[in-house]
Amino acid sequence: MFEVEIKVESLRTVFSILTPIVGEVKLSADKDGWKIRAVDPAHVAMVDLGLLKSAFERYEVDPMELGLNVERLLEHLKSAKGDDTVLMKLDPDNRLVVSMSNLTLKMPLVDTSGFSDPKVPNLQLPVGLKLNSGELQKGLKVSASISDYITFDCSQEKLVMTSSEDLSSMTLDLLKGKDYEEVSFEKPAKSSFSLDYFSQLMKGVGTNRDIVLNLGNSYPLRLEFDFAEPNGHARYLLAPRIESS
Amino acid sequence: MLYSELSEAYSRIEAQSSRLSMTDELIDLLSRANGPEREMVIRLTKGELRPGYEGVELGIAEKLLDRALYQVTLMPLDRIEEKRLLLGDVGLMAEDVIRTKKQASLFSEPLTVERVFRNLERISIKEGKDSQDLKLKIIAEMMHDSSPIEARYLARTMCQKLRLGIADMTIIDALAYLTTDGFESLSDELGALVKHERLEKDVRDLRSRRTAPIYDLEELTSHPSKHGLDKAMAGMVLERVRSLKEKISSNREFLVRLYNVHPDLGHIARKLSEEGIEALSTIKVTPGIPLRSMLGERLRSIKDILEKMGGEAALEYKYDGLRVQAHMVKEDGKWRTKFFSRQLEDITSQFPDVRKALEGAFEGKDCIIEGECVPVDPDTGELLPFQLISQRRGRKYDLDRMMKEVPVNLVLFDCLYLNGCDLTGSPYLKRRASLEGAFPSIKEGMIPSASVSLSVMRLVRSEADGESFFESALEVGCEGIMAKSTAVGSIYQAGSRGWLWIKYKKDYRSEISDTLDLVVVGAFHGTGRRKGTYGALLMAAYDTASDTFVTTCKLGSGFNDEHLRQVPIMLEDLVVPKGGAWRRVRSRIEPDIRLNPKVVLEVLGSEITFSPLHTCSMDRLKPGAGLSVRFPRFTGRFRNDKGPEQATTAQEMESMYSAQRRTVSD
Repeated sequence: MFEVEIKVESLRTVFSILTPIVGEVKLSADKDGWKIRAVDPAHVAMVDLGLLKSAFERYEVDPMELGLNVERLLEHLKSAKGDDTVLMKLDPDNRLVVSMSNLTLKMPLVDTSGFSDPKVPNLQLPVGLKLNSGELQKGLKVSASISDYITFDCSQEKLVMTSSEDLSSMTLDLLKGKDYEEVSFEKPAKSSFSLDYFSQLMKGVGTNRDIVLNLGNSYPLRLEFDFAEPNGHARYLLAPRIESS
Repeated sequence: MLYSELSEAYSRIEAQSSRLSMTDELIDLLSRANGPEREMVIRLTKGELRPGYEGVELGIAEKLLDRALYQVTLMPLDRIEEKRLLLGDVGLMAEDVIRTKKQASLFSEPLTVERVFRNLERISIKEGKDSQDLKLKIIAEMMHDSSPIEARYLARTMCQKLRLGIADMTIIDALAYLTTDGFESLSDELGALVKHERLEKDVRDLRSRRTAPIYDLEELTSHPSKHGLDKAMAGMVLERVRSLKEKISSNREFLVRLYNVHPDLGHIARKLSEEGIEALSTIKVTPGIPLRSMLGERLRSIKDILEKMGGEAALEYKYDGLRVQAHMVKEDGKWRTKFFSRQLEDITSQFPDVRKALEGAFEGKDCIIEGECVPVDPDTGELLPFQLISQRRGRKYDLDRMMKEVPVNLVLFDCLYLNGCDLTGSPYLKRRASLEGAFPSIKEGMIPSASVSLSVMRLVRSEADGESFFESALEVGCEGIMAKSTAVGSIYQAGSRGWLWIKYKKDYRSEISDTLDLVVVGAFHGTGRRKGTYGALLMAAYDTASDTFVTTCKLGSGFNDEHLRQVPIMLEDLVVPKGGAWRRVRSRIEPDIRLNPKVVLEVLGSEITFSPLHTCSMDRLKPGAGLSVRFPRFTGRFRNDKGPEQATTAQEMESMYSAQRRTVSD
């Protein structure tokens, strides 16, 4: 049994958190809600997302795993109004049926036999900051015109985002207490990340969202946020660039 | 077993040049693998997933690898491609790309031999829509977890560019060592010798080797005084080393025999490791699994051949074509037929015509038969240069057209398996009788439309009979004859070259550099596409001494439709009425239509050979033989400028023949 109803807006958010990383996912659904974990082919970025049953208008699900082409589904959802309700279920041929207002789509499920089950690596990250996604987006956007990577350097007082190549450079200072709120601080942290990947992830985060960013030294970052509050929670992991010696 | 172990062994093997050191590396590598891993290691090392005859293709496009490397490293595609062109090798390119990778990953899992093998299998099976994406994903995943050196060999393996220079025989050697007990205890023998200090370093070197101790220990201990060894001790070691060497060599022979009837070393290695060498005797000749072909030695005269074979031999025409081993099994009323080449490739799809003919003619339930597939002129039934057959290779779409234009004939000559019985241990004449019995409707001699025939064979006891049989073979366009022993012990020796079969070909290389101008003296009715016009023309040279025209070949090739239309018109007035005199022509061949010599055509041939049928220079160079042109072909040029007396003369033919001989003996 798989039959759910949910607001278009919420489903759209779920899919747009996933699509920066993969086009197809394995959705694990049980009585409590949805869980989706996916990693990009290069194992550079990972998403781990949970959506509680309470986010749904209607939720009738036996525990199961479904392969979804989220890229295509997101495309279809674009045409719908945000506060419309969308119905998702499986037909007797095990096809996914998606209906919203007067539109009904049927599509085959994605074969998930080739999907790996990524384990979330256990990361020890000395720095945790709470900030608005807009600040990060500003730094990333400017950096992208300068280089293909960005460096985060976090000290006791501030987080400095820098990016440079040849004669051009960019520096963006974020101050503790003003631009961000400290969640934890054990020691200073510095890591660089591919702008390609990072900018993609920020598309999934969306504008003007409160996020918690955890950093380490030449180490992956973790970025967490809530959506469809208070029912959705998402976590991105991003591996660093290797510092050229 | 980790793939890194395999990669490191590959890189050491690449640095080796001697076969012995390669064998050492292989023994070391295989001794660390369990049964299923041994199979995979051997398959990967040979650059394949399944034995070659099963036709499983592994090759991925280099561009796909580029894209996978891009996904893993984010290095721009054009730079990856540039590296590939610059380094000239996918392996070095992948290694370099992975080494200079700028992006870390969240986690990686070590590559194992099994994971690589299973993934390559998935890649090879996947076809159709979305398959490229899945392949890309699998390759990227593996490349992601590869160290630079693993990436080097993985890339080469996937793109079919792994060339380690390990021959099957080297693998068999390694397996023979691994199968021989007592091999490990060699180090104890070494320990006994190490007391002599000055040998210590030598012994250390020896210990690191797996095969060499046998050879080196033998050398050391057979000259004890030279190396300052205790004589008694050395004698004992020598004895052990020699008996070990004997055991290894007998195991090797056993493995080679198995390999010859079941050329799948991956399977043999796995069975060997899991069930022991005794279990291997269950490997039998099986329809569907090609045997390695038996080959013949070569001698320079019929006399030598008859001597070697004890006064009697079965001579067969030796056709110049593609050796084909046909396997046929009838299951639930349906044929499972496969053709294999001498390289053991599955070539079934190239010869649907032959397949149909064989299936129609076979009276039995299963068999393995061998023959030579030759291209035949559809109009005259004459043999054509065998290169034509290769035009069928890889054709999918215009095979129908090829079948019409270049029909082939499979000339059968042996039967290795029939109705559940392995005949490879039976003498030649029994196998030949089985072949004839299983295909009762198939006869000697070529019928263009038949697709299958039986090789022309004669039992011969005298040199003269042999020579005339040889010449008749050349006459029909064969390259020579194959003499086969008729002795009780004349078994089918799969995979070996021996004296049970002896080739006899002309001992000179053959090429006519110049064209010939020959006179049309007769014509044969055409069949098939040439119905209503002439199928072939009887061509003659001019003999100045007797002022006659002497025949030298039948010409059927090189005519286009326009020529075919013109020729009958040109020859119309030259037809000799039935029963009329064929003036100035000497011929042993009776054409359908006799023609008065007038029209001269330019002809190209591959060589000039002896023939008992043609009258050109009859008896002059050799008793009972004239000269003929092999593979004659009309150049398209009508020599209207030449009268028949200006044609190539018999005397010119003779000097051309001698010139041919000289070019070779030079």
